[in-house]
Amino acid sequence: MDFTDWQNWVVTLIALIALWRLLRVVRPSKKNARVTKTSLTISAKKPE
Amino acid sequence: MTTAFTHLTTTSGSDQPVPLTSLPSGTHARVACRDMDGDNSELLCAMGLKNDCPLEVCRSGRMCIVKVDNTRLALSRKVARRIMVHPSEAASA
Amino acid sequence: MTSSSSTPEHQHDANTQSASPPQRIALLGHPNAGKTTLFNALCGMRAKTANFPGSTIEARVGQWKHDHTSVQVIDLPGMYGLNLDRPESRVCKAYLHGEVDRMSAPDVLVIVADAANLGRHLLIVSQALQQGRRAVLVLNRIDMAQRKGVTIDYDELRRRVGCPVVAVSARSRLGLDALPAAVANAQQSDVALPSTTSADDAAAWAADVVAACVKRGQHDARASALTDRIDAIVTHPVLGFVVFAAIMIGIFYVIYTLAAWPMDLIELSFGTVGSWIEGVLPAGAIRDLLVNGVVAGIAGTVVFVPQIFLLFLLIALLEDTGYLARAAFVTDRLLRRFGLSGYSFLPLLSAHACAIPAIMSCRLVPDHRDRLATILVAPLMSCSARLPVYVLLIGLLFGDSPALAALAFVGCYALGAIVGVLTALILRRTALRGESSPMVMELPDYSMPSLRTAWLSTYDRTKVFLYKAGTVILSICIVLWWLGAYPSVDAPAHVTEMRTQATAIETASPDRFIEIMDEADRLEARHAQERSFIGRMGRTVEPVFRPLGYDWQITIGVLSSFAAREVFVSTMAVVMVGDESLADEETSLRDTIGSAERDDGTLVFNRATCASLLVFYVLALQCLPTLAVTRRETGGWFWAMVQLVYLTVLAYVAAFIVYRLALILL
Repeated sequence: MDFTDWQNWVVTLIALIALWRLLRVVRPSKKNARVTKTSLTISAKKPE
Repeated sequence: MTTAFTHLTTTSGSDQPVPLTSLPSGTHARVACRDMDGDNSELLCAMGLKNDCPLEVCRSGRMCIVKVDNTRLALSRKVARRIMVHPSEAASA
Repeated sequence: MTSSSSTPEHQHDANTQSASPPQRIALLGHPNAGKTTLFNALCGMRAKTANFPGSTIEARVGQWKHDHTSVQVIDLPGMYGLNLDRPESRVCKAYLHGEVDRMSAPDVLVIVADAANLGRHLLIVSQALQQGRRAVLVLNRIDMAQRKGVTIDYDELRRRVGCPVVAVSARSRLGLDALPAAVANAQQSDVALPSTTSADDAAAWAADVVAACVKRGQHDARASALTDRIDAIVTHPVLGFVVFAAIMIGIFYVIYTLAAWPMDLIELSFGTVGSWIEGVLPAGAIRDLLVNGVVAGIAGTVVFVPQIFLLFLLIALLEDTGYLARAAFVTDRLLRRFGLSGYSFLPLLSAHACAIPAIMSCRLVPDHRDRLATILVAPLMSCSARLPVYVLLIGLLFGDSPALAALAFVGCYALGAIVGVLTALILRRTALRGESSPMVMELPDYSMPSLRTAWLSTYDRTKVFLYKAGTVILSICIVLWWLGAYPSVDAPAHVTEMRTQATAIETASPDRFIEIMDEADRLEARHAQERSFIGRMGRTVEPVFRPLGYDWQITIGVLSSFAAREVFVSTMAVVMVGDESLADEETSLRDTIGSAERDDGTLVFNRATCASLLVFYVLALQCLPTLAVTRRETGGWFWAMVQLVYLTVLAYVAAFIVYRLALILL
């Protein structure tokens, strides 16, 4: 990998942001979890 | 159409209630009671199947359809057989 | 009879509310009472009106602007009673008690009841009036009530319920002018209402109110008679199934024929955008990311939109006619044998477009075991994301026989559906054992569907799909692109040599020059792919998939499509051809990868491998967004992991068996 090419760093940063977004889908942040809780059905009884 | 039940019928319905499942399509009847737990009973009541309300059996079978107060309700057999009704020739849904 | 239990269940801020103008109102009532139509009429927001009971399970929020004021309107899920042990009742009660995070309880409760069937709606009216909130009773469909010969004494009704009463027809906007004043004057009911714990008390009270306020005259029975005549066919034990099957075949035929050209157009447009970017930007990592990561990622989602949009549109139209409730009734008989119920029908139908909205629509399944079983098997229905994989593999298997190819397509759908219902049966007899709640549902009168309503609701659902699935698929494509592009390696010596040779003959034979340079590009891309992170992962994991007949290249495809199965085709294009643009040209891609060879010289995609791969993709849960939505809808990771492990093991075992059988038979 050419470390002197700035483009490599930019795309790596974008890939990291994408990875972070993916991880957030799998495990939502606390802030995000609070937002989704506003959906009324979330308060419905959970299946056992 | 309702010959099978004429011997039970009086002007206000028969004395002995029968399960809804025993009525053929086209029969008119009145709800006598709902032999089920409170929640299901309350749901049926909320949907219009109140005690003494007139109904018409639109389709009988494994799932039945009854018409109550201009509304059609589909009931599974498990529910229908716990609804006791007085068949009635004269009643009109 | 009418007990004096008029004590509000929640007195909290009722006194402070009464003085202030309402900031927030909530619409509450039965399914099919016309709440959502009223909501649309007030807010002009894009919300749907559905005949299928319980379809407004998610509340909609909008702004009602009138007389220079703006009021927030919340359309609560339709339900039959606040105290019932059903999801929608629990949701409404939680909301009215202020127990839903970041959603304040309403200042005024607008109770919507059907004027033509007031008696049936009075139970919920009495329960709603006892929530300690200012209330207004809206009698909807007043025009239909008039046609049915129903006249209502509004003054008497107002006296009996203790709050303002407004008669409207939300569909024709009749009487809506009176609503702002009624809402402003809404008051907490102070009359004696029946106990909320006794259904009989409430029924007796409702009967009293109806006797005092409602008079029935001669009515127009044509609509009811039409419904009876149609019902005689569509709910018939045999004819009902025939009609159902015909409608379903019709829906899928329309989807696949009508969606074909917009899908081609979308592919062509994104191909053009990719070429344009390649022409405008200088070669480099950013250009590669944009073309092969971002554009490919967006195209990978958008290309399914026509099919998903059409399926949702047809479902919405069917809902509006009143047929879907009958379809649930007809399928209940069949699904109950497999431990599911008619309520599961709509989610399983939607899953043929996409499992994500399907799993979300499982909220309308009242029994939690039925609901869970439906969620767990929904991904087994062949969604549109599997189509490109099916097209590629069936093309490789039966490219020379259209009849066999068509049969294989049907077989894939059937395999998914059959394994789905059998899985449900196993679940309901083991982990989810127990009696499911019997089905009780309202069958609304048939009516002409509103294209506008269906269009708006479809637009909403498609938007949700695009946002939820699109963002995930885009992220996956970017991450996969990076894993495939790095660590970047120098071109191998023989490729450099090829280029040197090509340059030498450039002027003498330009065609040959282009040919050699293209081949050199492909070889370099393949070399880079093999040595990239994902290539190394493929080599490492290959032994796991070797028993299924997959080499390292297919293993890369399977691994990369773990998060979204449609990525398989583009990954194969990159791995085997070194040029993702070929993924859009099915025939050339098929020819190229059909003749690709393994390290030992045998075909990568031999017939046994294709069959095994096809079965693997029918059964495997290769979709990260689905997993995330299962986690959310089941309230934790447990069932999401059960779903993932079960479907992966099932797919692996089935693919292994098919591979071994195919080796013998094919």
